[in-house]
Amino acid sequence: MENLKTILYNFDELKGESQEKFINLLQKKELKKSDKIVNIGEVAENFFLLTKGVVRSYFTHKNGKEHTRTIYTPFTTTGALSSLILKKPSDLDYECLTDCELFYGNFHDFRKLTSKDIHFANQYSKILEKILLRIESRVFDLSVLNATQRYLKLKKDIPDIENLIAQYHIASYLNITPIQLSRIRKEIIEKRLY
Amino acid sequence: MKNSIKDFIQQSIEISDKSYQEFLSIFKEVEFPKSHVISKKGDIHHKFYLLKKGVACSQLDDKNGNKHIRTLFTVVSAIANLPSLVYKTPSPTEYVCITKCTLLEANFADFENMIKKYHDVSISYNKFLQRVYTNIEEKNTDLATLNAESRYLKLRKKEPDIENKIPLYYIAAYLNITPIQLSRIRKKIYSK
Repeated sequence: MENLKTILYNFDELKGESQEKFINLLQKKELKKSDKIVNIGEVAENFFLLTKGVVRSYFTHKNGKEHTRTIYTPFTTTGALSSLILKKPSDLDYECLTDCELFYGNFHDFRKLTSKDIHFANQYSKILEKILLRIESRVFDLSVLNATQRYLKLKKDIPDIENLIAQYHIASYLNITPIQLSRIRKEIIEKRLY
Repeated sequence: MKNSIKDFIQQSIEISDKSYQEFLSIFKEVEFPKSHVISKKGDIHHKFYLLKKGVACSQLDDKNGNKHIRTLFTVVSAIANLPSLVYKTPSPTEYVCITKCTLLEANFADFENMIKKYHDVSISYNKFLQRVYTNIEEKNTDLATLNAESRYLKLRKKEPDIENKIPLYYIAAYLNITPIQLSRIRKKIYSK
């Protein structure tokens, strides 16, 4: 339960009775590497809180190629938020890259609490603000940092990324070709940038 | 009245008259000329705006120094870099009036105090953030899956009047294509 405490500490709008109500929504789930938490085409029902492991969301192009959209590490929210909000099928798959520990809850029950309890409404805004920060900085990285800088940033965030995910997935996350990626890695080893 | 500030904050939630009056009281009206820079890249935002009249956009410089349009704002939109407002970090984007604009301006700190007291306004803010999120995700998915022509048609469907309001090169920058590509697409569509 140590890990759940870290999450509750971050959700600081929910105290006392509100926190109790929130804990009652949650259930713990342990998943194996390659298990999915949301499948493409599925209308999602649950939100997830990642407390251990690494999850990625990815998109599959018509030609079968996968494009990694987001890589999630603890402690963070994950799951198909657009699908939850719009009640439409998810565009993405959400897959565990390692064995994972998650807490999950029904999103619509959570939303009901936001209409009854102002602390839930304010907490939900804070969560959404954080998610928006995450996608904003991803767009910024893709448009402003060069490929080497993006790779170094990813290595800093997830040092063992290379053991978790295939090279071509890393390349697709960085929006470069696998050949570019291998050149960058060579350059970094030679120049000891890392 | 359609497209009013009240409709904007009342999307799928009823706001009481008292809350609405309180909400309006944190704003003052400002007018900016065409091409006015509302905030520069690197600024830390304390204020945010609601667009009442005109068209504005947010721009991001890419690695080659080209300006890319992130968002086109039409009436009624909220304008500000949210991460900068919330986390007091420098904004990576520049906000510019494409046409002459009338805006309502408020301090974000006043708004943050308001949502602690007014539950309906807090829920309205939830719904607003949800819309911002689903719009960005939709745009990201469109950029990955649709070709330029489909993205153009989608924009025209959402904003039928946009070509009468702003120069075409802004539209090209928003669609992430060159003005030449855009004029080819338009020619193809109109000749059908």
